[in-house]
Amino acid sequence: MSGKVLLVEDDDRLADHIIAGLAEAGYTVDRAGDGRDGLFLASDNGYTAIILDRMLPGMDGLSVLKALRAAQVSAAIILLSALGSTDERVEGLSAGADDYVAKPFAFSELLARLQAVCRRSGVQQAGAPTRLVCGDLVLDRMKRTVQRASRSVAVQAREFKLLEYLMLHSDELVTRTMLLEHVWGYHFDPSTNVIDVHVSRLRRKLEDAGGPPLIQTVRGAGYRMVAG
Amino acid sequence: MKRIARRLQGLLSGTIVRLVLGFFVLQFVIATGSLMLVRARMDTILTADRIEQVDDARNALLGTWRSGGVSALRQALDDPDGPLGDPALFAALREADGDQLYGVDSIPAAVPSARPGRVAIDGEDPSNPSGLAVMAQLNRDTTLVVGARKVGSGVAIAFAEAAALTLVITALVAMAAALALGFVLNRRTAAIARTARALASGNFAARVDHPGYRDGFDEVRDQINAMAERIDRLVTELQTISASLAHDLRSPVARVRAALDNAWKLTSDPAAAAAIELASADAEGLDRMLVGALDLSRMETGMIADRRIPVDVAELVGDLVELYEPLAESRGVTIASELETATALADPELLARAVSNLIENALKYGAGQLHCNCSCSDGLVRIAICDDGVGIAAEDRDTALARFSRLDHARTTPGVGLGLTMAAAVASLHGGTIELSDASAADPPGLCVTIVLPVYEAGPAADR
Repeated sequence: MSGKVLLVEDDDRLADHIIAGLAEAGYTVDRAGDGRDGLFLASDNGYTAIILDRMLPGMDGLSVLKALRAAQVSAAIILLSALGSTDERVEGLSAGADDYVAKPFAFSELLARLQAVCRRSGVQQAGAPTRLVCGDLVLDRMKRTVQRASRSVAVQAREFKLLEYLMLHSDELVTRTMLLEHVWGYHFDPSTNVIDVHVSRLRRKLEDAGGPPLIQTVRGAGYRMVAG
Repeated sequence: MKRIARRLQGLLSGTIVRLVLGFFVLQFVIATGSLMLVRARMDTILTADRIEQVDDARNALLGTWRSGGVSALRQALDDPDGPLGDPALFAALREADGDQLYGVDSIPAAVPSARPGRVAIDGEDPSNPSGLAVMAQLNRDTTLVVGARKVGSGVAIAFAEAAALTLVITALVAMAAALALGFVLNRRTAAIARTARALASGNFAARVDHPGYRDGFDEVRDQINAMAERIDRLVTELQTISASLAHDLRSPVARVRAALDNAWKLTSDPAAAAAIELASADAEGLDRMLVGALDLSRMETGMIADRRIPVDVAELVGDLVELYEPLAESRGVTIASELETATALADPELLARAVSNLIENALKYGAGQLHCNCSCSDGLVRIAICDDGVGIAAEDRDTALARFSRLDHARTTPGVGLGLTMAAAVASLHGGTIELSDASAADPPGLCVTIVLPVYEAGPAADR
């Protein structure tokens, strides 16, 4: 995965950390230190995604976001903020952000979400597939069936949704928060390992059907679906 | 219908009824007083009228006597169209050979001769005479007495009628005035009460809005508005401070976590990696507490946008039970749920968070059996999360809730105190309460935490 990303962040150390991580993941990163510079650079276009801090000197992130959307800048935008409340998130998303990451975050969380939004903008052009395939695992979104090596795997409705999300993002890191958000529709952070248990159940079902493990655990970050 | 009945009851309660009675008595006294005055005036006028009438009759009769003598006088006295035509008038003629009476039983005693005066007639009590009479000496042997009796009964009936009518009109007017007054009072106090309620529930933008009449109500309104203004300003300040505090405190934590991330990636020493992971988990815990405390303060001050919608509470709890069931199972805990369909007006995200906090607490403190129930009765939706752990003693429950709100427990067992306080804050944000009770009579009793919310009734009557 690669692309051109603009980071608008006033905190130098955090920005350096993000830039280093993104560069490592194969992204080209430009950085702006305040809202005005950010808006100026972003309007120039050519970015796949923009990571935008909510609280910025000069011009706050939300205003930059609105200005960008008003100027028809189509880049995927992830809003970054220390204000993690529902109000802030809803406000950010309704202003046109594609995702919202509350500070402080694990870098893997930001990377996973960045990959997801970049891919999403690609998928929208291609249209969503009705059949998802990962190795010998086939998930039919119309018939709502799961087959592994032509053998049917019985999954519950929620497990189907979980598998569907993982397969839609195969080869990408998917964090627990992302799963809780997209599979269960909750926007809070449970302190227990409630998601892990669901994933290991699903994993067991898939492995019982034979074949190599498909869902990898990424230590300290989340999961990744990989064709065995 | 019920609403109207309740409104009328409100209008006629305590203060209003007393006002009605006061009004009634006052109006009645005034009306009766004026009637009495009219009556006294009327008596005077009637008496003067009668005196004149008697005078006129006497003059007419004297005229007849002068021109035609006694025989003409007698004729005039007998004539029904003559000077004595009015049935109230009477006369008597005393002659040497006897008395002749016209419309009277006997000649009244002590009749004055100059102007008509009061005389007792028809054998009435002489101390309270009602007749008026005057005497004229025609010659040595002949005396003419002309008088009038009181025409009282008609006036008395008219007066009684007027009094009764006054009573009825006064009652009606007093009632109407009291209802109108009650309505005005209710409207003005209701506006103040509504604002106070809005302020109490955290809507600090609420103000009493009513055109001023510069009266006591306006004084109250001004004071409430001034108070609201000040609360609003303080809360806004608090909001600004907590927002910048969040930014200032959470950014360093973000950097710590980022640095730990980096260190973890760079190290190949498993012992160092384990230590870093531990530090990372602590940093995450610190962040979670920070977020929790900020969310909580936002909730407790009501600084949260109104995102309430009708929520099927049973479905919401059911989804959470489904989320936590595998985790519970992996810990050897079974979750039993009894979910009765019930709708409440709620922010689904906040409510789900509150219930998930309670389930996590129950998982942490329960032994092997967890009950999640949702029921609906008496206009209340109850979400009960019960465990079979050690429970909380009845006398500690209030202090437990109060202490939790100061995060004392959170310091020793991260997240727990916050969970219960968060649930309480969410409940109160929805106009509900939280109840702690024993889960069973067994030992240990376990703990039941119940979120009680008002049920949502669809329809135009339900107000947001």
